[in-house]
Amino acid sequence: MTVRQTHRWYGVAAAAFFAAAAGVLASRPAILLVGVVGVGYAAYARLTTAPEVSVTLERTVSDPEPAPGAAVEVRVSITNTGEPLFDLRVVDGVPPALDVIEGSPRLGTALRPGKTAAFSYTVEAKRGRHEFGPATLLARDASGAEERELEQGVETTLTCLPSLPPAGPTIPLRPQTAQYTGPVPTTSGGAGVEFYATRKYRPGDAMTRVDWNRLARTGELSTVEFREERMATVVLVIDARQSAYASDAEGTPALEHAVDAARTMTTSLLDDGHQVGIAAFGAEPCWLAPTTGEDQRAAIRRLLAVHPGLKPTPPAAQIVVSRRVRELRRQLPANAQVIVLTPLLDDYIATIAGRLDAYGHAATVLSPDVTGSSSPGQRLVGTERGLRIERLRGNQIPVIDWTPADPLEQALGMARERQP
Amino acid sequence: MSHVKDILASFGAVLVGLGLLFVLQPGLAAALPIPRLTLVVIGLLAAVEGIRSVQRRRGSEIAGAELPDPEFGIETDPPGDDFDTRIARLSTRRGWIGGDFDRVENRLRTAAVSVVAARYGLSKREARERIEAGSWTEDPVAAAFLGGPTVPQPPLEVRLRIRLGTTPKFQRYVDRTADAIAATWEAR
Repeated sequence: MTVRQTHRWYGVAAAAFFAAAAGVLASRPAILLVGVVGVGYAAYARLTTAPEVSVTLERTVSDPEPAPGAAVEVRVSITNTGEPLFDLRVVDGVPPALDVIEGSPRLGTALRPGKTAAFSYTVEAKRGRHEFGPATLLARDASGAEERELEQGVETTLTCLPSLPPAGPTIPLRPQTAQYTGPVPTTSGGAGVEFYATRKYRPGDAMTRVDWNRLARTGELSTVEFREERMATVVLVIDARQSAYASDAEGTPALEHAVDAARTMTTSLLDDGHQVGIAAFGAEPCWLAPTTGEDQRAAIRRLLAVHPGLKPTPPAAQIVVSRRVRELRRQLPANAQVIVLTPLLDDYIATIAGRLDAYGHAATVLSPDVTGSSSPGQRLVGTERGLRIERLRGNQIPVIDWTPADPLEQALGMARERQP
Repeated sequence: MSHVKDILASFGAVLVGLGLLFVLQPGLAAALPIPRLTLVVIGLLAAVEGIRSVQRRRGSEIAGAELPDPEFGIETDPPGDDFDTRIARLSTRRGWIGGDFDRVENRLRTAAVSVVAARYGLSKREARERIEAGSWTEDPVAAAFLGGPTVPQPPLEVRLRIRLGTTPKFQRYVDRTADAIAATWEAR
């Protein structure tokens, strides 16, 4: 709580004293009277103090778990449980990520003891868990010479969990695989459907895989090998450092596009039978071990919406990523491949993708392009990003360059075409 | 303290009451034997208090709470905004020498080297030499900005236009260099 002198009567006091002095010295009662009135005001302002504020605050929301984009009405009522308040101003603690789309989160009123004043406004729901901050209250005495500022909290939370899309496009995965049978082609022969090679028969090979034609032609026993197809373990690594909050021309941060893409990819990968996990380099450590199934689908949906490491507002401090990378390396299963979702706005994240790839976690980068061309700085950053993409591709790390205005399917389709 | 305040307030209220009484009954005031000198002293005291009030007002700004503006969610900047801001800030400074200037030039040079190497299939060293020679771009301003001492200054007409334009000189040079780098990259 802060009590503050506003100093707004100092000028009046000076004028009043000068008038009084002039009235007395010139023996002019009329001028003296003017001064006396002014001194009276100034004295009143000096003697009164800002009232003690004792109020109760209540806040209700029309829907505590809205869908993204839904309009949520917030109603705040304030009841005076103390002395009369001549001038009370209230500003509600709207969560920083939300925009007020209708009404005003402010109130200015006089409030008698026992009385209640209310106001309401509407916010647009966005991904995340949004906690309302304390309301700021400002009370002044009648003269406005002193004011008391305080915060009054009441817990209200709005949780917006976007659903995962019902279906998604095929994700171009690297040919690095787990031990379980699944849809990812490998570079080794074995059981599968696509012809891969023939080799010398080894005792124990299935009779169905013996190349009988060749046996008839040459008398040699050989075995046909098919391209093995296996299930992949994929960890989506989301860049949520400060730079990933840079926004596109529409004002949407790159992170939101990355989270959208992660949702679509989760659906696709889980539908195809892959194990999917999530990691993020953000304000808080974020790790969900890869696995399959409906429980994982629900867990990922929740994590992508409300994890504090993926907050819709940028982290306040710089994040030390090197430690997070070390942690991630410890957590990643040996056979896991990673898809790094990043706007690629600095060299460091490109280096990390390269390092993970070098450690044996085949890396792919999916990069929402939020760079613009309306200023030299934007054009330079766009060029630097292009250079990073070239460098990654030169190091055999596939980069899916996605312009968020276009559908993700399009970018993924182009990446599939580029696959060897 | 508030006790003293209350006593003084009560004393003041009594005096105001007396004053009002004298206004209503001027005869009573005339009966009070107040010498002229006392009145002069009271008048001067009021004038001194007036001067003190003026001094107090001069030494203090009108204060007030700064209430938050929660209507709009946090907006983040587009990428490259920090670069544009830095250039604008540097341009307002007299004589652009120092670490900031070097950082801007190094960043442009690093991007230019990579872009020229990619565009013409050169090694980094060859690209650096081409930039030093000023032959990497057709823009004389960009060529002069990153080029070595042998690169000629832009034509007089161009320099005059930059000098007379509303955009500060440094900003204009940086803008044109950034544009030349972007153009070279797009033309690869």
